[in-house]
Amino acid sequence: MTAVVNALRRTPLFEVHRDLGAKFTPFGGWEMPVYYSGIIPEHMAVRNACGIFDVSHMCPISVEGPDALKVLQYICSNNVEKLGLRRVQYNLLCNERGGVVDDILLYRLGESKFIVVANASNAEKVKEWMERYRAPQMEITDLQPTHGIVSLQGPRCMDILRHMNWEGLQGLRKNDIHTVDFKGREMLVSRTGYTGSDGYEFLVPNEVAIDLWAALSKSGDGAIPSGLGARDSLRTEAGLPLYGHEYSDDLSPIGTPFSWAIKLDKGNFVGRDALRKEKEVGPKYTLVGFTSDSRSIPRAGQKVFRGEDLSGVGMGWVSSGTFSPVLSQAIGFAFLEGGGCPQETPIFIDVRGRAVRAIISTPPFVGKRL
Amino acid sequence: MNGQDTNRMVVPKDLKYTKEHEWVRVEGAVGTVGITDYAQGELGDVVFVELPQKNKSVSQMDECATVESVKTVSSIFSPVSGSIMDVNTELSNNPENINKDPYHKGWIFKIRLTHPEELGSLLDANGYESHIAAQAH
Repeated sequence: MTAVVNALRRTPLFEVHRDLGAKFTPFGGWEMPVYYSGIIPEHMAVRNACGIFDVSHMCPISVEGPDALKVLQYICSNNVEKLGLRRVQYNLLCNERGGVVDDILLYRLGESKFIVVANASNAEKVKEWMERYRAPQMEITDLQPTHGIVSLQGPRCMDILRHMNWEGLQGLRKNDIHTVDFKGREMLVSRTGYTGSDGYEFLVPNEVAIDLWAALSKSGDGAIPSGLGARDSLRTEAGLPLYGHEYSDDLSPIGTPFSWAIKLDKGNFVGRDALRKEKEVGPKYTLVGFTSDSRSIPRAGQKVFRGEDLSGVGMGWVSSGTFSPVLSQAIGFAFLEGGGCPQETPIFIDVRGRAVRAIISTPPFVGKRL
Repeated sequence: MNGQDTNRMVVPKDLKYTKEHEWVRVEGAVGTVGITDYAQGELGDVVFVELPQKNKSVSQMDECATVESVKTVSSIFSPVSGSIMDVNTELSNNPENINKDPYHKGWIFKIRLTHPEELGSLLDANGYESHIAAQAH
């Protein structure tokens, strides 16, 4: 018998990570660094100094042509017409039932020139989704074979970027996009990130990805190589969602704190009617944040109860749970039936048969959302 | 589980191992138990350790402690049957000792062996090295 194993894909920076002694993990079909020195030191480097991440598993897809805006406006939840040139907008792609196909960043490079950045695990689904709704005058190009994405995150980013002598980065506001020349190649820089700390992300041609990583790692005080482990604890502290945890094809985003990205009054779009209906009758589930002082950390998939009695079906489930290195306590998200609970309401989570007490707390758990 | 360079893992020759990545160091009738270098690498930064109760009797491969890291939680099984003599309370304040020094400061509990013949069912260092090499590929 022969096992069929799909080979994991590797980013243009794989060998750099291996030389740095990274521990790897499979993620969304990619072989990615989970940590180098340790999740906690990498997490704290991003909060206090600067970390550098390879996020080339994220899939950039170029959407260009006279029909691009019209189609994107129809498949995205946010108002794409309000997206300014050289700006980035957070968006949900919803299905007709009001579930989520993917959550994406949408870059607008020109009147009719966009880039969709999809999650690794949803890349194929998103490409198929866009093909399904495409219009004649529109070109869809997967940029992943030719580009990597590097993310520089933390309060000391600018100290490092100053050494790169790129013009125009000083004035970049949150969600602005700028183009710089790196080793003779055009590279997009956006002031974006997924950590809750200030940061910049680079859409870099494969040929110069290793040079970019080396330059950012060595400039100034240097950026600390950081893996997906810290990326997950950072995004959880920052109250940011992860597809497969806080979103799925079968769950409505109406009851989440991210429903601000759904503009029901912008005109028709895929999923609008289902979303509007759910908003009118009230969400089936509400996503809340929680903190816990327990030494047993609630983890994704565990059931939530009103009291210490863990019998019955419970009132919901944990979607993400981790340890916050900044707060030194357990934090996470849970979906609760109906409209949710007020702040500081105690809930009990079935952690391997034991009732672990947590309290409802509105994310972000750390800092202000950027 | 994959992704660690198993050639860099430390596997002391004088210990016995379980396939679940616990080690035991036997001195007379007492075994000291912890998790291996490979296991701490898989877990990443350890943040909490739930220690077993002193004087509790356990059977071989009973779950008797848990180790929480940032990203996951792992059950710790007793490599041998016996009664728990001592636990490493130092881990409450310094759980990272499991990462830094898994075979010494990172010990989790000491157990008085009631069935020493069980040691014969455990892996020696070579057997454990082959086991983790097989897991990593």
